[in-house]
Amino acid sequence: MIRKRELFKLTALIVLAAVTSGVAQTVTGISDLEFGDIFPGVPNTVSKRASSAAEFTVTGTAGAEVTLDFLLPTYVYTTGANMPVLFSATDCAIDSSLVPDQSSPSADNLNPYETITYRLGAGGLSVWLGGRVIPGLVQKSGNYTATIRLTVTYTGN
Amino acid sequence: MKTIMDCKGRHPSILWTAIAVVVMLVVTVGGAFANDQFVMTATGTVRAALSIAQGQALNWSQGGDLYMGVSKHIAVNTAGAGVFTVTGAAADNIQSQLLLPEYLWCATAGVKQRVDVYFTATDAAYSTDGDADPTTATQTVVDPTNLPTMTVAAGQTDVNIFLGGTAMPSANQKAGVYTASVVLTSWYEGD
Repeated sequence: MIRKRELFKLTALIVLAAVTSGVAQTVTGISDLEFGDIFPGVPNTVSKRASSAAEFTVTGTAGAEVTLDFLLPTYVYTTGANMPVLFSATDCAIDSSLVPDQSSPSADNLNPYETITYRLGAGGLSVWLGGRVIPGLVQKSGNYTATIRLTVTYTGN
Repeated sequence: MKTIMDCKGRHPSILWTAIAVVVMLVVTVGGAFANDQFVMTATGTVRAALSIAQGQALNWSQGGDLYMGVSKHIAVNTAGAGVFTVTGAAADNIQSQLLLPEYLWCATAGVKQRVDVYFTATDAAYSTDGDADPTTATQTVVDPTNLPTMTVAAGQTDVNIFLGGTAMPSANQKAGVYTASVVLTSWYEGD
């Protein structure tokens, strides 16, 4: 028979555990996806391994499962012109290590167009994204930009 | 509330367990639906597109017409050399390819009237100093069938490509104006 005081302690622990597991996750952008100089007629690919790849970090409860959903652009834009931007089924990589390794991530060749499910590590997650732009032969010169949105959600698992 | 008060001392676990379950549900449900978003940018700068213009045609009549049975060579650094001007962005590497004719054709001299032409490994040159005059430009002589990567010089926008060649009219060549096309294709190397 559990006494009232003991039950209260047990309940407090349960509540504490529950609150701890509910620490909100955050997504932070470390670097943009930088295609640099692009030459008309010459497709330009940025590898997910490159320093110019997009990099996000996700923080939250270690061990908690999260889903990652990218909202990816179809074009990058400048005033009066656009240019196709493509992402392949292997353009994303994740590392949950305390010291993330972009050159040898724990989860590699992930499809950024699909929901990615992963568990946060002690240091959260590092997420890298590469991509490719396809300029036309007479692509208008200028600075092109588009937004990449990453949404991270706890699954509760 | 009355039931709970009545349960005091007899069934305390019901109250506390209920509170714990509710709190856990609230926290768990809240955690499952909480999310965070971050928006970052994909960026790139497109350089100016290449353009090609013909400065002047390769002209075997420069300095005098062709004569039957007499070959004539136009050197790459003479006034009769052909000139293409490729315009791009400074410091960018450009690759080019020439499509050279084997014959000059005459539209007025009758069917199948042609003059043989050929190009040697020193019949092309390029300059990056912006000077499109073949007689004064600082040229680098190259093989017209294997043009190297050319780099637009700092402070310049143009690469000028010069072309010479040799025409060999036959001994019984019919008189007339003979022409052919030389096609230059250029593109950014992309690094």
